[in-house]
Order: sequence, then structure tokens, then C-alpha cells
Amino acid sequence: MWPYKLYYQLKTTAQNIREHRATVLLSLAAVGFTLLLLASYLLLLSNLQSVGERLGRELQIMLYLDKGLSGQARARVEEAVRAGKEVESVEYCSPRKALRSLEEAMGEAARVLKGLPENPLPGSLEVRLKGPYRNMETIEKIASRLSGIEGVADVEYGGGWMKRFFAFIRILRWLALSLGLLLLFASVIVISSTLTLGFYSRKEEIEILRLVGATESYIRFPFFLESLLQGIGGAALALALLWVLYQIFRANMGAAWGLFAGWGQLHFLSVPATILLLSLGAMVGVVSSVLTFSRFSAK
Amino acid sequence: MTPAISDRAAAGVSSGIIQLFNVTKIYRGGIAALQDVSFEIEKGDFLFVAGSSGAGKSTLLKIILGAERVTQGQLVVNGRNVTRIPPRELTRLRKETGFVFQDFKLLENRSALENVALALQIHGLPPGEVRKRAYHALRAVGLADKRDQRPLRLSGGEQQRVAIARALVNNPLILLADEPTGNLDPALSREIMDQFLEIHQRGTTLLVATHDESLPAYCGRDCIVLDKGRLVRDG
Ligand SMILES: Nc1ncnc2c1ncn2[C@@H]1O[C@H](COP(=O)(O)OP(=O)(O)OP(=O)(O)O)[C@@H](O)[C@H]1O
Ligand SMILES: [Mg+2]
Repeated sequence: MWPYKLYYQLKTTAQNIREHRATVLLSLAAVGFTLLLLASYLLLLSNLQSVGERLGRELQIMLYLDKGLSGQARARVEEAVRAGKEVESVEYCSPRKALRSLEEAMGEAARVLKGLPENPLPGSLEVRLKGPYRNMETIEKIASRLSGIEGVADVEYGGGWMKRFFAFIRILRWLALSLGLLLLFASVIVISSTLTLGFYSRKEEIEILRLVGATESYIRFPFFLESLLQGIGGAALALALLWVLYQIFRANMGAAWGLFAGWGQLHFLSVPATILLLSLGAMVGVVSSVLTFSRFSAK
Repeated sequence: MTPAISDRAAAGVSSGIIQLFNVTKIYRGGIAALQDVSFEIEKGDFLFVAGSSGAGKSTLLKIILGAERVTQGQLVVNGRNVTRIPPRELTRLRKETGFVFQDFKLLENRSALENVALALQIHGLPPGEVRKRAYHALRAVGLADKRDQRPLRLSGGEQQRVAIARALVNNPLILLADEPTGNLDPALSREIMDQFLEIHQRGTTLLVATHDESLPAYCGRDCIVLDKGRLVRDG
């Protein structure tokens, strides 16, 4: 029984779409462009995040030691630092070595250093963290813990700008959520309007089907299917357009992005993100049809 | 053969397939289309409803199908109280009831065959079976050769016969026909009536609204009469 019912419902869906294909195409395009906005935003965000992670991987902590610390005391500090489970390696940089590299960095201007009565630079420990800990959240905590070690004068890590970069990404992520909801809502309105038009143009047929004993679910399923197809189709269209735009961007701006990203590669949306977008499209379709049905339920 | 036993209906002891207990229907706008109508039709009966235009004949048939809601009173069809029927049950009732609408209610963008097929498809019958049965139903009303025409290309009488074919195609338990011969000439009317008598023989219960006073006599059937929404002649 039901396979044939499904067959007739599919036929009805096809007929519905064929009969007002101009409206359906328009609505598909509208949903496609709306979701394209969302998809490109997500793509940008995802790429920025990779840049952040990449830069984060280069983060390390500098511990400046107290002036005139004895070799023994220094060894104790090193030992205490190494004891942390997050620490991968510790490298000592003596005051003399620090001065030499400063002289190298200053070049000609290094002459001013020659006049100094003594080396003003402290010794330092360069602490590299293990992979999973190389991010802003943990590095901050670890740094403050290390600064408490006896013999450590000062601690420095990353740059202020790194912190700001990550804060920026957090803002973008929050915006993605609100912007996403807004765009999804817009898509729901578009599909729902198209469906409403479909309902009106089939009012007679729906009435007759009801009178000859068709169930509401039998009557609604073709509309549900049409709505679902528009949602998923819109998402697929958005992904296809984004793919094209991405290729164009990469061809023209790939090098510039590489500079910005510290030679990081551009990447397209991941498979889970692609599936997420298609599911969002499907969800938009389902919500649209449910909304429309609730307005057209039988008295 | 006594079709309407209103006192039995009132007493509540009845075996009728269609039972009305003091049914009143008031449309929005305050028009009382049916007022305090009680009667009963036994299973397998064949009964006519007469009355002048606006008397409430169509309204009577529509409430039995659940297409219009009863304002007051009780209505029981095949054991179901239509006044408080859940949607699932209503669709079951409609599936076992054939209805010939006064305004046909055919889909203009579908052929005659497709219009009849609609009533079969909702039962989930295979396409081949649907086509075969729809074709036979159309042939029975003499429209086999017009099966691919759309309703607008058919005469009023032909459209009416498509509507009859659709109502009969499921071998309904109950047939409600609203002026089924309104657009037919006397010869065709009698042909349709013969067909109704035949399905009556097979056990279908029929309730037919008509202006044509000669039909009940032709069929040898009883007739109830409505006047301004009231039952004035019973049986
Ligand atoms: N949907 C409706 N809304 C409001 N009033 C209605 C509606 N349908 C019918 N009426 C009114 O109810 C009354 C009975 O109408 P009904 O169609 O039942 O009469 P009828 O006996 O079938 O007439 P006819 O022989 O002309 O078909 C009429 O006065 C009509 O105007
Ligand atoms: Mg009428």
C-alpha cells in the first residue's frame, strides 16, 4: 500500500514543482544566496581560526631570571620549570648570549651598547610547551604559574596582539551564530512563502482530496518534500557557488593570504562543516513546511 | 422499506447507518440551513431528499460527509458520531462514502481519468489497478472515450458523470449524491438511476438530493422533503 502512496506523492511533488517552477527556482536562488552569505562567513572564520592556531603553535614563554643568579640557583629554577607536565623543552640563554644577539639585531646602532659599564640584560629561559598546551588559554595560566618560581624576575609570552587576535576570532564566532540565525530565518521566510503560494494554487485539489478521504499527512507530504528539497537544494547551491568563489579567491589572493597567515594554506570548508551546512538547509526546509502547515491546517 | 423512523431515532434504539438527532445547522452569518432535523436511514436503503432551492438538501448531505459541522444535535454515520469525530475516523468515513457534489468539484488541470483516479490513489492501489478501475468507472457512465479530456472540454452532463464515476469507483458503503442528474437529459438520468439501483442491489446505502420529482417514482423509492431547513415529509 504505502509504496504506491509514496509513488503518487512523489508524482504530486514533481507536478507541483513543474507547475510553478519559476517560483521554485527563484526561491531556490534566494535561499542559495542567503546560505552563501552564511557559508562564506563560515569559510572565512574557519581559515582565520587556522591562522590563529598556526601562530599559536609558535608561542613560547620567556622567563627572565633575577640578576646575578648563581648557576646552582638557575639549575633549581630550570628543574622547577621542567617539572611542569606541559613543558616540552627549556633552553637557557645567558646574559652574554642575549647581549650578542641584541648587538647583531641592532647592527650599526650597537655601538651605544659598548659604552655600558656592565651587561644590562638578564639571563633567560626559553620554555616551549607541548603541542596541546600551545594556545592562549593555557599559556596564560602556565606563564603566571611559572612567574611564581623563586628566581624568576619576569615572564613574557606571545604578544599582546595574539591575545587580541583570538579575542577577535571569538567575536567573529559569536557574530556567526547570530548572523547565521538571522540568515536561516530569512531562508525559512522565503521557502515558507513559496510553499504558501503552492498551497493557494492547489487549494481546490487539497479540498477535494480531503473530501474523498485523504489523510492530512498524505496531502502534506508532497509539500513537505518540496520544502525539504528547496532547503537542501539551496544549501547545495550555496556550497557550489562558494567553491567557485573560493577557487577564484585562491587563484588571485592565495599569495597574499600566505603572507598574512605565516605561510599557512587556504582551505575550503571541512567535510563536517559541509554536512552541517546541508543539514541546516534541510532544517530550514522542515521548519518552513511545519510553519506553513500550521497556518493551513484543516478547520 | 420504511426508511425514516424518526421516533425510533428519537428513542435512541436504532440500527440505522445514518442517524440524525435534532440536527440544526446554522451557517456563519446566521442562516439556518437545517433546523431540528431527525431521521434515520437503514443500512442498504435508497432514499431521496427533495425540497425547493435553498431548502437545505446540500447542507444535509455535506454534514453527513463531515464537510460541514453540525451546529446542534447529534449525527451518527456507520457507528461514528460525526459531531465529535477525530480526524483519522473522519478520513475513514470519507473513504467509505461516495459523494457526487452539486458543483462536481473536478480538477480542471486533470483529465477525466485522472480525476477519478485521485480517489483510488489515496488508498495506495497500484497504478495499473488505479487506471483499470478508473477506466471501468468511466465506461459505466458512458465516458470511456472521453477519459483523456479535461473537465473544461466536457459538457455539464459529462462533467456530472465524471463526478458520479469518481463517487462510485471505490464501491462505497454509502453514496451521497447531490443533484446527480441536474445536468442530464431524461434518458441519461434514467441510465444513471439504473446504475444507482444496481449498486443499491449490491448493498450500498444511497441518499440522493433532487429537484426532479419523477426520480423517486421511477426508482420506486421513498422521498423525504425539506422546506426551509425543516423536515416536512418523512418517508
Ligand atoms: N457555505 C455557506 N455559507 C453560508 N450559507 C450557506 C452556505 N451554504 C449554503 N448556505 C445557505 O444555506 C441554505 C441551504 O442551502 P443548501 O445549499 O443546503 O440548499 P439546497 O437545498 O441544496 O438548494 P439547491 O436546491 O439550490 O441546491 C441556503 O439559504 C444557503 O444560502
Ligand atoms: Mg444544493
